[in-house]
Amino acid sequence: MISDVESMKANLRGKGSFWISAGFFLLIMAILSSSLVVPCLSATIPSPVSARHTPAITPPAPVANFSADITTGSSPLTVHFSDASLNTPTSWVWDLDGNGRIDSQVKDPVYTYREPGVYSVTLTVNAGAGTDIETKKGYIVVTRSAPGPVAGFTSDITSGTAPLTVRFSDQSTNDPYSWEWDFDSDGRIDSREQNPSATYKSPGSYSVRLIVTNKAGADEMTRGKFITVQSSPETPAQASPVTPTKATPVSTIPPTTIRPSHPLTTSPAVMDTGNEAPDFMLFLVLFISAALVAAAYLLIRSRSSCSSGNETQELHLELSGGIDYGGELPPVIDPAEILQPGDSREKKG
Amino acid sequence: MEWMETSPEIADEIDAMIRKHGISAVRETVTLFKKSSSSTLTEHDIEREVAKRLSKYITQGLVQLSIERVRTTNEFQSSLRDSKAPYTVVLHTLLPLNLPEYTPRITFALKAGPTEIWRTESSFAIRSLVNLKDTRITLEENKLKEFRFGSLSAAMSIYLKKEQMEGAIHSFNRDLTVPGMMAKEEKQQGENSPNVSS
Repeated sequence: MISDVESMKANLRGKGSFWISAGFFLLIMAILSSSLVVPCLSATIPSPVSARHTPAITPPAPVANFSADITTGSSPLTVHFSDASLNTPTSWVWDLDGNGRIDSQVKDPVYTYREPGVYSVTLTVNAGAGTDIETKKGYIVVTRSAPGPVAGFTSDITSGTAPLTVRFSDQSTNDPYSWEWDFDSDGRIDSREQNPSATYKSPGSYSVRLIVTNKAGADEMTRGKFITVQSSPETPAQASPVTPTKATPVSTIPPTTIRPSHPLTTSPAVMDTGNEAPDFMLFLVLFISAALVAAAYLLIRSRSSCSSGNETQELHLELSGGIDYGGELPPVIDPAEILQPGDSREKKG
Repeated sequence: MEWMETSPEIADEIDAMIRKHGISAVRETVTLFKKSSSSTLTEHDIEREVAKRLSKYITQGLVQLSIERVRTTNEFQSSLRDSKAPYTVVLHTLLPLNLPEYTPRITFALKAGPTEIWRTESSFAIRSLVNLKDTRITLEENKLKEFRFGSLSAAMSIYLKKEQMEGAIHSFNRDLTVPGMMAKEEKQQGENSPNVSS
């Protein structure tokens, strides 16, 4: 009995929330309708413009300013400059290396400094109201280019019987940040670790290649027949002669760790899980139906508003005129006339 | 006295001017009008109406200002008599009259019903030098009752006035006729003229 009462309460709560949602939806649609109809009317009637009484506005003088994405680095240093001038300049003149010559006339130039040095940058902007110059002395500092890497490696052993596990040691210089190892010279990268290990399962002689990369470039070293693997009577034939012993780690989540974040039944106050799906479907169907009805209503209303606006407010063009004598005589004011298509009436006094 | 008819020579010149230069306000108006209305009004329709109005205004200004200038001439002043009866004087030759600048304007208004929703205006400055011969004036109690141009030639320049500048768009120098006021009508009506003297 108690569970029946709780179930009814839960149902009522569910339906109450439905009607609240539906009401909220209709409120939103009403707001949307007003925002749909107003642009419709405003699109029909342009805003008033008076070309005669437009006041002359003197634009403010421009204020030059700029920034760069990078201001220090080794050569060759490519810098993206960004104009940050105020008051909408119309032309830009850049001296990007401080030699007094124009290097660019675009708004946001890109410049590559190939020689080490300290460079001043000057931007001259121009607008109708004037010119402004901004110079940043010593803004760009270009250092000598970093040396490229030199690849080198050794291994703890170079021969043995299969399966042979070899530990390689990187001896590259100039701070490489990537390593690509090919343990059997088949052209495929077998490891990207700095100091990997590999197990050779088939007998043979293997060349080893290492490619290292740093900011300045890349270098490679290949040692031909560096590893010699001798046969062993008990070694079975392997499809792959060599495998890195340290596989790339793959993060996996054990199935047992997956838990629902919110248990479906935690307390009697929660809606009956057996009725949840039908209620939700009912809510969804009603919501979509209400949305369709509201959309159809709004469409009809906005169309009728637009069309009635056109019918009742058909635009027409009026011409009027006159003569100003500058005080010499009283001005002449000619009455306005509605201009009709193909109107060729001769108006005589 | 009203001169509402347009000089055909001025109408020719204005037609040529509009064909040559167009009127930016006309283009602007047509563009906006076509966007907002289902009317079949064309740019040509508007240009024709503009030409008609502008020719009329230029003629009217020329005539009115010419009369005002003639009033100030020695010839006119010396023809004034202390007579209550109407009399007519022919001013055979007048010095060239430099007319003050005047400004015909055309206003374009886009309306929805009585509501004006857009407006623009084209103004033209007219500067002219007028030569008159055999101008016939009729006076009564020292008031000008009638004015007839005998021979009228004018050098005119038409400037399109913009907000902060103006540019000359058309000039001409030719003899003009003002219908109803020229020699043909004058001869026909001359028989009824009162005292004529020179």
